[in-house]
Amino acid sequence: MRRVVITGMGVISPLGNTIDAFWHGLISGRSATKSLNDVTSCNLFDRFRGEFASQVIVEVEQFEQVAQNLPAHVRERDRYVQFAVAAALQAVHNANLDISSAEVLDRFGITLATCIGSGQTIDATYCQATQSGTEAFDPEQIPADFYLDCIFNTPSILLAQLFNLHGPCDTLSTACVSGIDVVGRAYELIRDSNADIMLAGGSEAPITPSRFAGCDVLRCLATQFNDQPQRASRPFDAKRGGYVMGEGSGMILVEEREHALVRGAPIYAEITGFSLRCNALHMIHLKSEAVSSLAQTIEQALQEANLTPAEIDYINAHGSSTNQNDEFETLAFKEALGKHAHSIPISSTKSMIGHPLAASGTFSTIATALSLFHGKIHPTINYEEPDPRCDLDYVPNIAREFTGNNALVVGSGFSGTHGALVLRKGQKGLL
Amino acid sequence: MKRRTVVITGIGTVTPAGRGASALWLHAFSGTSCVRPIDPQKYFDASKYDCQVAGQVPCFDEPRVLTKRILAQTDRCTQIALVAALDALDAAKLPIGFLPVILPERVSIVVGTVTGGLTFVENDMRNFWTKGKQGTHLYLATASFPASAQGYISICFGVKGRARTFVSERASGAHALIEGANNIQRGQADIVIAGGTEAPITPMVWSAYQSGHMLQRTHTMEPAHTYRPFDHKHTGMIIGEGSTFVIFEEREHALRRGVPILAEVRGWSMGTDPTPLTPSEVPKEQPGRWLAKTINASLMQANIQSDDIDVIFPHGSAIAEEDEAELSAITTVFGHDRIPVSIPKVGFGHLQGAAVSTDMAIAVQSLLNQTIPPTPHAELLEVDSGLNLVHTHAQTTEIKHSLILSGGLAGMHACLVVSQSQMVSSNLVKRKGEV
Repeated sequence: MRRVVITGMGVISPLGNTIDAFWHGLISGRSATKSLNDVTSCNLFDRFRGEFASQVIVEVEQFEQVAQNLPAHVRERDRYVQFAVAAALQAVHNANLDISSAEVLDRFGITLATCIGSGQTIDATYCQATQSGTEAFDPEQIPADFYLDCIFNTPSILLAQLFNLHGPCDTLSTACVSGIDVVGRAYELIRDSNADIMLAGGSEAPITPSRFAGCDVLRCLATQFNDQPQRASRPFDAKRGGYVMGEGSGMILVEEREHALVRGAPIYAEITGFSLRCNALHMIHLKSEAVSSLAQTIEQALQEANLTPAEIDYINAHGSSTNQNDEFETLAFKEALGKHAHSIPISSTKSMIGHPLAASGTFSTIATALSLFHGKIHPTINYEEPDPRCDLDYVPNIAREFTGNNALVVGSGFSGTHGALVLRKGQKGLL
Repeated sequence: MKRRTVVITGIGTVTPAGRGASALWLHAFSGTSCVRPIDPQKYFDASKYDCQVAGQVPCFDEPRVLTKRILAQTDRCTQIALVAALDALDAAKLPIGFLPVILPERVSIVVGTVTGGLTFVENDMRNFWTKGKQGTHLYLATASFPASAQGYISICFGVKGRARTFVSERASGAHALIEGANNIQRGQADIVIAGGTEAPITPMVWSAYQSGHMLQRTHTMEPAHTYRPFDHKHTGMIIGEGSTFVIFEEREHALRRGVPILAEVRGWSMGTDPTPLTPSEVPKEQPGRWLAKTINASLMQANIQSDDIDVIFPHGSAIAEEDEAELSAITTVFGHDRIPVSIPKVGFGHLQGAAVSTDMAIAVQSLLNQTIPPTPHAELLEVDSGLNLVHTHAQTTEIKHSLILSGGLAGMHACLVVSQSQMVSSNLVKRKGEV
């Protein structure tokens, strides 16, 4: 059986635009949340001031400095495309991968994910081409190559072209589990020998009026701490009341283990199990009948990794800070892991970076790989008041030293999807 | 361990040719075109656009799944997909909820789409930008995002296994089918609902295709001005809306429950020919070089030689660079003017995310009927040399293996080999009379 490892990572994140800055932010428990009034990435919110129930967001800061180094044709595209390309270039660099080698390119593929795609460009174009919805759509009033804004795989095809690679090149959109799903897909394609190296990741820039409104009307965004934005994302805390919409891109270079060892690549973690399921119950709500569906997803991933619940040392939870999800997830952990659920530390990356939809699972995976690599786990911040329905160890507010070997990354999304990934501490040497 | 075999046990299709595999086959067999000027009442006034024709799905309703509630919550691409998926389940004799035939956890759903629910977004945006938040539809988020069809299919029919949506532009349908076949082969599912859906006939999406120079410029229904794959005057696709789902099933599972096996999916492969997005840039490699390797990889998986392929259903986008790469790959693998090539999508439009599953439905009918459908109005085309394009009339011939090709921007591509199942060959004489 071919083994699969993580050899490179890159981020454009609200905590910083390098892996070091991201990790430092996570470990120090820094919130990146801010008021919607302070939005800088989208200028269409002015006319909606005060209209939305939620007034908090998370944004990537100082991206312009990164963007100016991107190729001109990438800079012409939507923010999420630029995030993806920048994070991907970092990941390849971080993995010390020689992308001029034909041997590498023939067996190198890409699998990316997004839920919203070019949301900002589509909103702006729609306003322009219809005089803010008052006229018929005028096809003369659209940007050049608008086709690249209406499809969802522009990052993957631009990267395939930049790298000149020959492997599979695809894009998934499995709602908010997409970020875990792409890593699982890369792992399976490499394990089955369809590729030796895959770039896997998610990218999202959904902070745009129509998309924000779409979530605001569903009442799934945080509304309780509009005047104290940094406290708004509070997974598992009793006063949580919704997620904070975020953005960014996390990219992971996934590689066949021997291939990585032979070229002396850094090994951050090994991927040992993956499972993907859907609950067939509801597009949005996590009904209590779905607990077993997530529990079975976790059990299946553990089974593939050949691990018992006692051997899981850390869980990076979906932890979206919605009332429903955090309780739901807690129940599923107990069902899948039994009494061990109470002794496994669990943290939510979203407590600091909010919910960047398709990118969230890759951020969680990167955080978990870094935890295994550095021997430290990041906290769940804003955990102030325990909720009796959420009674596990959520690593409140302060990072912890960590000596564990196996970790679980979990996610759930709209359309009733659930995903679970098992990572093991990277082992050096040919075993 | 014995290798698990992927077979097809059901087809559901809603396309401009109508609803059902028979309607699709009869249309393909006839070699005519049902592409029409865009209906301004039903869609939009296309008079300002370069391409004013499209393949349009005739009215359809299905009270078993398109309830008032579902119709209000979903985009057209999800609605068409729900009907196609329901028909595929019916054809494969699978009940809604799947019990007692199979555990719902052993059933997967995979969907390919290019633009997803942008029709819904566009209608909703008008309300939003004119009325503000109170104009926002409660279902905007779930109607518009690409995983909508996947989610509604899983909920309406009770799929509890894997669920994935591919948005790899025009290769998304092929990526979904390959994922479905992999699910069966790896043992992750025993049944997969696999296909694609698209509803692109809306001003914003039409503008997008126009901006990308993706569509044939045509205002008339003159065959000479329409979709011309591999022709010297090719300037782009004629597209259409529709959805096709096939039921993939593990062979032993299908045999145990005694359902007819329509065909076998024997080989598949994916790859990329890195190609510049702007035609002015010079490609770094010979166009189609890697597609030829991808085709060979799928033949190797199917354990057959290039000579064993009896018919090719190409991507045939009529976009100059894509045609050139595809022609080069076909002639590299199969030689010049040899294997018959058929492009039935010329008669109803390239259905984008649903194109490959629709080609697969036609390929299955083609195997069952031992007949290659013609490419509509192909006799008018000045086709580049090297392509044995089936035209004017359907050809009756022995067909054991067919090859379906798919491609998209920047040279990403995929292919699948669909073959006669051994079960079918013994029953063939009996089946041949049926259409």
